[in-house]
Amino acid sequence: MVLAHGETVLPTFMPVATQAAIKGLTPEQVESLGISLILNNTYHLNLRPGVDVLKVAGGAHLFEGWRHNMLTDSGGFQLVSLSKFTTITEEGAVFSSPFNGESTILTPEESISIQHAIGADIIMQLDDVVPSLLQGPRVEEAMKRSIRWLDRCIQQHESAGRKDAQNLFAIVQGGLDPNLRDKCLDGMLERKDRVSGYAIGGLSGGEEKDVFWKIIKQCADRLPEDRPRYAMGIGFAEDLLVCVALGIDMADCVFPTRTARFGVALTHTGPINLKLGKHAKDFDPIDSTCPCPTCKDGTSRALLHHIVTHETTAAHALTIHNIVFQAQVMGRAREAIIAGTFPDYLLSFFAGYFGDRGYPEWCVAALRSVNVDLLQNSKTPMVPGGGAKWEYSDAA
Amino acid sequence: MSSPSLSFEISSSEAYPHDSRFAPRVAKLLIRKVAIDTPGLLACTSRGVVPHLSRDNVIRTKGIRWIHVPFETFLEHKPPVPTLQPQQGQSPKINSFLRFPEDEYVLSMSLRDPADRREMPANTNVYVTANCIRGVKKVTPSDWRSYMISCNPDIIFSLSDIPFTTPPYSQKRLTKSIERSALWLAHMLHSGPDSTSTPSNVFVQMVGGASAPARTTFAESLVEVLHGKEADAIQPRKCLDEGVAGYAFDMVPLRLAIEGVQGLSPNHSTIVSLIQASLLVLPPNKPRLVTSARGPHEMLLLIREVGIDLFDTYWAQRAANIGVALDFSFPAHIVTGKRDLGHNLYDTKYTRDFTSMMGNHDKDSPGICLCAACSPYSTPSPEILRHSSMDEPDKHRDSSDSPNPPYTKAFLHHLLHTHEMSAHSLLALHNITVMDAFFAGIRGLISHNSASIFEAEIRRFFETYMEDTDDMSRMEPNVFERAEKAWGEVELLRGKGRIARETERVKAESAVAANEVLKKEMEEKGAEGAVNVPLASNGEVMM
Repeated sequence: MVLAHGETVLPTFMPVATQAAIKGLTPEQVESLGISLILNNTYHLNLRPGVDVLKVAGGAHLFEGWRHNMLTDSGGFQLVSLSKFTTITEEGAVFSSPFNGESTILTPEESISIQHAIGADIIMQLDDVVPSLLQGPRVEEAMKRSIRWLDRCIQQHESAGRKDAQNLFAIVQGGLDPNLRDKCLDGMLERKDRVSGYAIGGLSGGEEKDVFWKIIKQCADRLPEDRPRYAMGIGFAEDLLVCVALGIDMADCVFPTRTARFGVALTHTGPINLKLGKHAKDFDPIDSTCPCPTCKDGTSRALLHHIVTHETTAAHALTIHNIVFQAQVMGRAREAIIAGTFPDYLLSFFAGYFGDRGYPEWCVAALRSVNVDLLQNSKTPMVPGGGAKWEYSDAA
Repeated sequence: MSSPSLSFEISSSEAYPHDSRFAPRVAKLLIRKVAIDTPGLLACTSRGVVPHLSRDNVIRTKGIRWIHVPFETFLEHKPPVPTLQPQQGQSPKINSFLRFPEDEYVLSMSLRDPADRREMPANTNVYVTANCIRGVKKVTPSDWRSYMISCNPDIIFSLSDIPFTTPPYSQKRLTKSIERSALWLAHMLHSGPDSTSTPSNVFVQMVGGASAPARTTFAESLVEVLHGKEADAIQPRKCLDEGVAGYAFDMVPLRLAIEGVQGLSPNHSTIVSLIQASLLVLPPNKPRLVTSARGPHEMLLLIREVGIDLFDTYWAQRAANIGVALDFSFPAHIVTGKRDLGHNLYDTKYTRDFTSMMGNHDKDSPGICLCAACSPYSTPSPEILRHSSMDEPDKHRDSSDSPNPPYTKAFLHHLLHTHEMSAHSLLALHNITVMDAFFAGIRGLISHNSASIFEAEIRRFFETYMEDTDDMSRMEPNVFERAEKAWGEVELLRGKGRIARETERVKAESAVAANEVLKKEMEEKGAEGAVNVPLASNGEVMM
C-alpha cells in the first residue's frame, strides 16, 4: 500500500498513538522498530491540541514528528466508549462535556474536516457505532445511518478537494446480525468507486469469538479484492492471524501498548506478566530470539520485574518489545504468504502459542473455514471458550 | 574480582596553578576505556535505570557516560537480586544486570540515594538504615562489602554514617559519625583472604555535618598514619586515604544539617567553607564529586571556590520531571535582561510556540542543542528492523545527514497537559544534554583563558539567569515552582473522583468570572449614580 508518506506492506498491525504519541516513545524510536503506519485519534486530537493548533502546525505529522503513514479514526468509537455523555441524532453525535454540560456536536462533515486538518493518509468515515452486544432496532438504525453518514463524509471529502491527498475508508456496521451486515455491505459496495478501503467495525466489544469470526468472514468474502480491508480493534495475536487468514489486511488495537504499561510482555508462547514474583530472579531476556532493542540488549526479566510499574523506563522497554512482537507476528505472516507457506505458519504459531493448553474451538472452526486444520497431526486437544491467554501467579 | 584502577589527571592551565588546593581545574578521569572530562556529570538512576530513558534513549544521550546507582532498592530481596546475576564473560555483575557495558560507562554505587532527604531511623555502631519498597532495612558493613564485591562496580561509595534523624546533631553524634565512617572505610579496604577481592576504587562521603572542626577531624583521620592492628587491617596501605580514590560531598544532608543549626536556608559561603574544611588536609589531586547540587549557579561557585570536578544531574532530571526544559549555556547567551534557567512548558504561552526547546536565541549565541529532542536523527536505514523480506524502510525516504525538525515547545506543552510519558523522556534527554554542554563550556573556558575571564563569565552568568533558590524574600514563584504547581494540577485531573473535582473547579471558575463581569458593570453604572443589578424573574440577583 503506497500512501503519501511512504509504503506500508500488508498485512500489518497499526500501533495506536491516541494523543499524538505512542505512549512513552518518540517517533524516532517507533520508526526504528520498522513501523510505517500508526493510528491517531480524531476525538482526542480535536480536544487537545485542537484543530487551530494543528492547522498552524501544518498537520499532525509535523506537529508530532511522525514522518510516515498515519490513519485517523473518525471519533465513532468514542460514541460507545464515552456513551454516558453522548446522544446520537441524525445530524451527528452530541457530546456533552462532563464538566460543565456544554455540548459539542460531531457531524460527519465536522469529523471529516477535523481529519483534513490532522492530515492523516487514511481517514475514516464517521459511523454510528453501537456496542457489539446491543440488540434491537437500534442496531439496524445505526447501520442504515452509517450508510447515510458515509455519503455525507464522501461529499465533504470530495468537495474539500482532498480526495487525492487523503484516502477515505468506509466502515461496515450491522452488529452481530448477518442480515444487517449483508444489507450494509450492499449499500457500501455501491459506493466502491468513491472510497479507498473498507473497515469492519462494531466488533471487539465482548461478543462471542465464534460470532466474531463469522462476521469477519462474511464481510471479507464480499469486500472487493482491490481495496484494503481493516478490522478495527483487533490486537490479540491469535485474533490477528485468524483475521489475516479470513482476508483482513490491517488491524489496530491499544492492547499491546496498554498491556506493556501494565507490565505484560507478549511472546510467541503467550503473555508474560512481569509483575509476578516468579520473574524476580530470571536473568534471561523476555525472548532471546526477539529483535527488539529491549531483548537484543539482553535486558533480563529480573531487571524488568524490578522496575515494572515503578519506572516509566519499564513501560518504554515493554512497549518497544510488544510493538515489535506484533510486527513480527504480522511480518512472519507476510513472509509465509509470499512463500506460499501461510497454512504452515498458522499451524506452527498456534502450536507454539496454544500447545500447552489446547486450541480454542473458535480458532479451529475459523481456520477450518479456509481449509486449515489445526487439529491435523496434532495431539493438542480443542478447548471451549475464547482462549485468551494470561499468566497467573504460582501462589494462586 | 577487583575493579580496574582509576586514573585522574589534572591538566595544567595558565589560569590556575596546578597544585593549588581550591581552584578550578580541568582533568580527565579514566577507568578502563571510559574517559570522563571534568568538570563533568554523572547521571542519577532510580531502581537501576535512568528515569524516563529506555536503553536506546540513554545511548542517544551522549552526555551520559557515568551513571550512579543507589543500591538500596535491591534490598527487597535477600540476597539482593543483582548479586545473583550469572557471570557474563569478564563483565562485572552489576554491569551485566543493568546492561551498561563496562567499557562504555563508569558505574558507581552508594548504598543510599544521595537525594533522599526523608527522615530515617538512627544508624548504630553496627548498621546503617536504608530504604526499600518493603520498608527500612539494616545494612551492616559486612553486608555492604559483600554486596559490593559481588556486584563489582567501577566505583564504590564506602558505607558512611550520615544521620537522617532531625538535626541539629550534637557533638557526640558527630563524633560517632566520624568514627563509624572511618571504621567502615577500613573494613571496606581490608584485604580479603584472597587479595584480589579487595575493592580498589573507593570513594568516601565526607561526613561531619555542619561543623567545620568535625569535618576537618574526619579528613585528618583519613590521612593519619595507622599503627598496630589498625595498620594491619589495611595493609599494605599506611593510612586510609591511600585506599581512597575520590571524595564525595552530599548536598542534601549538608543543607539539612546547616538548616538545623542556623534555622535558615544555607548560603553559598557556608557550604563552601564546610567543604573546604573537609579538603584542607587532603591531597588535592583526587576527584571531588558533589551530589544533588542545586543548579548551575551553585555548581559554578563550587567549581570556582573549591575545585569540584563532578556533579550529578539530580537538579536537571528533576526539572524534566516537572516539565521544565532547561535553556542556558556557559558562556551565557547574549541577551538583554535577566531570564529563567528554563521554560515551564505547562504555560499556555507555549501552545503555538513552534520553536525548539532552546530556540529563539540570537545568532551570536552558542550553537543549537544537539540532544535527541532538538536535533533528532532517524536510525540509519540498515539498522531499522525489518519484519519480512517485503519491508523496505528506505524506499521513498530521503536519507541525509541532517537531523529531523526539532520537537517543539508546542508539542511538549501538549504532551505535558495530556499526561504523556514521552514528554518526560524528551525533557530528560534534553536537560542532561544541556548540562553536558554547560560543563563542556566551563572546561573550554578554564583551559584556554585567564582566570579573570572565567570570573567575568561567571558574573555574567549570574547576571543573565535567575538562580533557583529557596529565597523567602522572593515574592513571585520561580519557574520551577510554577511548573511544579502546574504539574500537580495535571495530576489532579486524573484518577478517581476527577470528574467531580474538575466540575467543582469549572463551576468555581465560572462563578469568579461572572462576578468579575458583574463588578465591572456595577462600577460603570456606579459612575452615573445608579446601579442596575440584573434580576431574574423570581427577584433573585442573577449571576
